[in-house]
Amino acid sequence: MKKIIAGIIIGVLLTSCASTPEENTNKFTNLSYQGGLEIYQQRCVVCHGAKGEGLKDLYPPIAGSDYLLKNKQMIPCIIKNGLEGEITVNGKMYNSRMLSHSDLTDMELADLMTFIFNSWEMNEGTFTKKEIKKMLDNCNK
Amino acid sequence: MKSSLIFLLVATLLFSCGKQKRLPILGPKSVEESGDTSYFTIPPFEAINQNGEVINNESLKGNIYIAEFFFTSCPTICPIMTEQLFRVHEKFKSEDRLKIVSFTLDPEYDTPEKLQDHAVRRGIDIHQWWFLNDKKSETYELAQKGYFVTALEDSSEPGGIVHSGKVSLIDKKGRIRAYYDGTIEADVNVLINDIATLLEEK
Repeated sequence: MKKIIAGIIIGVLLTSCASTPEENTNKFTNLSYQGGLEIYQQRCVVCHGAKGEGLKDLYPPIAGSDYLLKNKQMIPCIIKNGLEGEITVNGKMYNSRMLSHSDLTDMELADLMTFIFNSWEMNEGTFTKKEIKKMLDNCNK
Repeated sequence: MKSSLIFLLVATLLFSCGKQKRLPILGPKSVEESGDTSYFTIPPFEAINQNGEVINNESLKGNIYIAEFFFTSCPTICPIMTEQLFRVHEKFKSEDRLKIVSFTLDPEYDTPEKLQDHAVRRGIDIHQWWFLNDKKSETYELAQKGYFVTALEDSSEPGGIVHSGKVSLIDKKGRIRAYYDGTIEADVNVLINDIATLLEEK
């Protein structure tokens, strides 16, 4: 009896841990994407939402964001250094401060970029550590 | 053994359903010379709300209220807490005996203007919900020694501030009646029920 109960508990725990809140993440099973998803859930999800939908008029969406695609080369810098002041996303003005994530390594940024740019109907391919370094060098000039 | 457990369970359920729950009074107590117990009350404070108005204990007198500590660029729990409290706000919007106060832990950045922008963008009604700006040292002191919730500056923490997700429920005499984890939906459901109970309290 005890064994059965323990089995059920473990079974429930296993299945509950295995599922991710975002359905379409299954389409991409590469390690970089999965690593990026993990970082997104730790650092981004509370403001930008599990579906990249943003939060009210406060924090802009990532899913379907024209700003993101227009500023693709700048995104690693924005994540790493933070962003302050007004920005317009899909015709709407936002003005919340995003704090810096300066402790993220180039590799982690590459994973996060890979996750973001291949979620929510975007298919922009993977990002390498080298590409991220180049983007960061360009924006720090 | 089994039957006694079931009996206990049933007894507990019956007892808890049978009468209206009364919230305990929290915080340090002292017994006065007359023999009466005197309860801890929130110490005096004075802050500015998102409209630039001065808010102090007097402004809250006669109301019950919920207090939280947050900051607008908080990258961790605050957006969740505020969304949870927004459910309370929506539920009790027309209840003028209830207030919600959110003290900023980053008063230099979160000026009253910034707080107003924040509130408007969240769709928050100023009649019920005040976002308060006070001096940094006084806010931290009030958090720790007034509401007994954690708030510390720590540069190793995202956003540079460590703070708890605790939300306190204060009665109309300024006494702490309960704490909730503002990041947990089920806990905030209990808060919603407790507000209704506390509003009825004589």
